[in-house]
Amino acid sequence: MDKIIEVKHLSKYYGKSRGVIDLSFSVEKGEIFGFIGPNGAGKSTTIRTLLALIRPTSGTATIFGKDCIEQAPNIAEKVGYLPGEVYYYDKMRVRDLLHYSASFYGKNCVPNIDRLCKRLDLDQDKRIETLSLGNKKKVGIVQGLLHEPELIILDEPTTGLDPLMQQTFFDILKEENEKGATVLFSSHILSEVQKICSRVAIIREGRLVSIEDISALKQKQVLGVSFEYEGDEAPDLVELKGVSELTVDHNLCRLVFQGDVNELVESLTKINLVSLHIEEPSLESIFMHYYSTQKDHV
Amino acid sequence: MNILSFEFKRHLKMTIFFALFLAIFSSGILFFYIYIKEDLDMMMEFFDRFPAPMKAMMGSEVSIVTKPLGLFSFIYSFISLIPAIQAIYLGLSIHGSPFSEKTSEFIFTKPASRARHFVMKVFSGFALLILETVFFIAVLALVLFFMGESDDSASTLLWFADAFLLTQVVFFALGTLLAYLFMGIKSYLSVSLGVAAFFFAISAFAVSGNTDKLKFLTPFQYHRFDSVLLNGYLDSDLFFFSLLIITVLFGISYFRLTSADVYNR
Repeated sequence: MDKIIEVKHLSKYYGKSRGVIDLSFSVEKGEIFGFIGPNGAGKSTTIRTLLALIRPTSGTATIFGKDCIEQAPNIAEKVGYLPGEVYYYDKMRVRDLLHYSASFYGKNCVPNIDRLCKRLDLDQDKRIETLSLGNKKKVGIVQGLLHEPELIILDEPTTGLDPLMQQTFFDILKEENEKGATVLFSSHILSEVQKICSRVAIIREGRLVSIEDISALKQKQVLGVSFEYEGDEAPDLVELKGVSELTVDHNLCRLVFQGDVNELVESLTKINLVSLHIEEPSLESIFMHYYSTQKDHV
Repeated sequence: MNILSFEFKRHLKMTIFFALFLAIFSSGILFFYIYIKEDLDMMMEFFDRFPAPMKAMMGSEVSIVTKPLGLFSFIYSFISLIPAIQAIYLGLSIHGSPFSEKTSEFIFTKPASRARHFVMKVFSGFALLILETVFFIAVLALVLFFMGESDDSASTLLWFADAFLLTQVVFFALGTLLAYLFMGIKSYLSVSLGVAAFFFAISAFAVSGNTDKLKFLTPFQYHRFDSVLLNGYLDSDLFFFSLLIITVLFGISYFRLTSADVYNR
């Protein structure tokens, strides 16, 4: 398969501060590639280097086989970018901003602008300064996609979007992907990456922890489980593969589970439950668990 | 071209507003001349009584006030701070907005090199300053025509236009450099005011000092209207020096933009 993005031993330091360290990964043509890590992990630094906004301290990055820094304007013709924080010219109307954005691509993007605005329910006559964060994010989505890019780079794209709009956005992304666009999707929310991506790179403290297929990651999925049960005898879940940190306090049981969720559910059906909570733990705790598992293997 | 027209349109209203202010103010001075021309001899006597250092600070030759453009040049030398502020502000605003408004990740990820961004923004600034100069000088010419004083003023006005435009471009380049040296300046007006006042203060020393070398330190002294009126042309040394300064200021700015990290901070 063609490599659309190829990052080799990329490091970036801001003075003495760490940005990213010795990062290497590649994104294949047509895939939706997740890029996940906690805040400050180096996701935005990597993306900004790919977009030539910042220069790497060492290492290289190529998009479409071209050097990201040397051939940035050529690359940008085929790239759509949605930054994590959206800032535009406050006094401008949405329509004017989108048309200005379109003017860089040398083709008629108006039908696509209208289509995307309609889809996202975005009023083009409003001034940017009057828009809510969610609507500004919609402007960002439209300006990133209006020229039908071959590569879409998204940095925390769902921040500020309500759940319905998030779903619409994911649908649009999937459609673009089906049309042939490659997507690099950066997020700190594991569930949304799992929802849409086929592979994911996990980054922490500037270093690449792992690159996983989503199916493999789901197998490693860590869940925080708590339930209340009836009866005097504490349920015996210690034997269940993937259970850790099991605590029982009166009739309230808490545990961390990593493994096949069907096996967990099957075990829980044998217990007379009063209440059940299964939640996705914070990314940091997932990493802690992931690390401890890795260390155990070593 | 899109960057040029975008920046031009974005700053057009401010430029028109300022050009109008300048035109009205200049017209006011010229109309003022009509009312005081009968009493100019008395005014000259009044000026003659001023101490020598103070007369030096007022400009080269107080006697030029006997002509309408002379009076204009004399009074303009005191308000030249205002166009300087406007030109520095323009440079800061055109070049600094991606950093102060945090639009750098929007604009610098478009298919246009940073070099193109820079050049187009400089051109948009030039276009605005040329427009302002043409409007300002045209209004001066028109008022002189109605006053019946336009007979020998055409070439002087052309030199005035050159002097005004060149000085504005120097200050515009200064604003440009500040925008790239201190990415993220938000209070354009206070920075413009401070920088212009600094050079204006040096200018006061330059005209009252014993050496001509001080003139090279402040753009206010490069192309003064009263010098143009007395000499009939621009000082060639200062002309080439101002071109050199413009080139250096834009050169450093260009290098800074093309080599710096430009993400939203």
